[in-house]
Amino acid sequence: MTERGLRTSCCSDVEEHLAALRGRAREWGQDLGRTSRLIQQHPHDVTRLLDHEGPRWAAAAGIPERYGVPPLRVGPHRYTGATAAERVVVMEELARVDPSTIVAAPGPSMSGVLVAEIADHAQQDRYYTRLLDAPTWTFFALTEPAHGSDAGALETAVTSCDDGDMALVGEKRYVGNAARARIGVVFARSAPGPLGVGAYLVDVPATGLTATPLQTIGLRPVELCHLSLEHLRVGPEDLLGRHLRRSRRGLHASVSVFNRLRPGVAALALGVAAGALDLLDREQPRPRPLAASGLTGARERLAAVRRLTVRAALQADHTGDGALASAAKATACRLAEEMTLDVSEALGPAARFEVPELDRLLRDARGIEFMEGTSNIQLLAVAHGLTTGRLTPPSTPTPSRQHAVRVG
Amino acid sequence: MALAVGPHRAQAQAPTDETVRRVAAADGLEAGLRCVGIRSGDLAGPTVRVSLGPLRLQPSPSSAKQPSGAGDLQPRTLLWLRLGASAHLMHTTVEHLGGRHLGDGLLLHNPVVRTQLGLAAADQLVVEAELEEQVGPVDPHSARRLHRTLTDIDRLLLRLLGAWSFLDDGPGTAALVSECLPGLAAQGRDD
Repeated sequence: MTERGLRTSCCSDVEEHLAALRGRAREWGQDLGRTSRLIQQHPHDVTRLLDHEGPRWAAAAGIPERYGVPPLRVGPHRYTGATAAERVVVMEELARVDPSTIVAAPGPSMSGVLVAEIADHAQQDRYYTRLLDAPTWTFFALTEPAHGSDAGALETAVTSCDDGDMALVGEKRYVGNAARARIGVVFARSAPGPLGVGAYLVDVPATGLTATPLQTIGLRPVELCHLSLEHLRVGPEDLLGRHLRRSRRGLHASVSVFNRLRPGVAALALGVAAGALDLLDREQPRPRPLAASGLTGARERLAAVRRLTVRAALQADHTGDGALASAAKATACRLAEEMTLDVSEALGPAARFEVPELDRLLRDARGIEFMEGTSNIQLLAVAHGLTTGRLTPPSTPTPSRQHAVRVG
Repeated sequence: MALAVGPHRAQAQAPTDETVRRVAAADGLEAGLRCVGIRSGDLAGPTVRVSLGPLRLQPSPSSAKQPSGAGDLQPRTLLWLRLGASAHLMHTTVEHLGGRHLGDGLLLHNPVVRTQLGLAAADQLVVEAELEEQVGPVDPHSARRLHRTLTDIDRLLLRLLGAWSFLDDGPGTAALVSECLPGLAAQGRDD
């Protein structure tokens, strides 16, 4: 589907399909408030999320139907959670209450998208069976202390052991839910260059793997971790996509996964922005001088970025391309930071101390910025999409690769 | 607007705004707070307090009102303090990016990064110029605007620092306390 086609499709059947899901997800969000407050105070109590339908849906979202997971049905619509479009709708509505209620929930999350994309049948059986045995947290270990999420500079190494086995050696940083996870994916390098990077499926606990929670300013229930990999044994069966050519796994796969996940991060930011406006409504009922507080047109901006985010998710689902997703993520994060600050100003300088939810929103908005690459990285990707013809601005009369600006 | 601080502050001669800014710029927000006589817990309202060494913004142990009236941190001094802390954050950012690599080069030499640093530095200079320009008390509207500008500058720098700035023991905590100072000042005023 072309990008122009995606713009049109947002107005048709897809919109109705996603609107029904949004309605259901909004209902799910309505009973999450108390649990949100609980897990903010006691991050180890995240299992309480499973008392609620929304996080329970997330715990199985994307698991193929052949494993016996029934799709969610809303009226004539059915949802498996396997698409980015479905995920962004649910993620925004739950994040509207608290992004941690979805990010700290058990379920396939990031690693699940990778497993769905490149794992062979045996690996999928192993992964999904683990998730279906009991609610299970997963992790996705790519980011490293020295190079962040720059997968090309990845240093974690696959080394050979004396007995012929392989082992992972290195460190990972900012890995969500790792200390409570029972299975996850670790990216490591077996050879120089982009083709030398592979993703390994790891069951935990495992000798050689230590996850240490980091204290963060916000999003505390997510429990970002430092991972130490000290000769963590892996075998050929652990290499995800072992049946694929090297060019279709590792770095290539991680880029593709990020393209599919990035709209979800935009949705988290949208949820924070929407949550800030909800809070304003509760704390300071209308009429209020929005023009004086910098919130003029806030709902219109929110709706516009929401539409862009859904379009980005549809593009990621249909083409795997991530240019729109980058635009959505950068704009949504900006919106979240601006709106939380604007609402804070509108409610008065001391409001964040008197309304704990406002303080949480202000902190969480900062944290989402660092998921899946910062805004500067996303804007570079947008510019790249523009100059390679993958992204056409609305005013462009002919969306054609032949007319794309060529640079370099 | 006046910020209530502990009784020890009244015993010492108040430092000039320039001194406060210089100390905060050189050694960070915590040093700047000490410079104006604030010690752990002094800078507090009914729900939160600032602790020093290491700098943290924490819930108040009780809802009791904190000591007040012994000394006042003037709105102008608060802005100079935040500007100095922002300059310190800039220094931290430049130092950090100077040690990080992107491909074959340093992150600090990346044009996108340099543009962002330039934006932050230019806005800091504008705040400095406006504070130098104003004679007499800072009016509340200008103070709100300048505080927001400083918050936006700090957040821009935090984005350049990446996830490190989201850790409790990273530079983001000082930035968080800094952006909370106007609110704490308002709570002090309410006292």
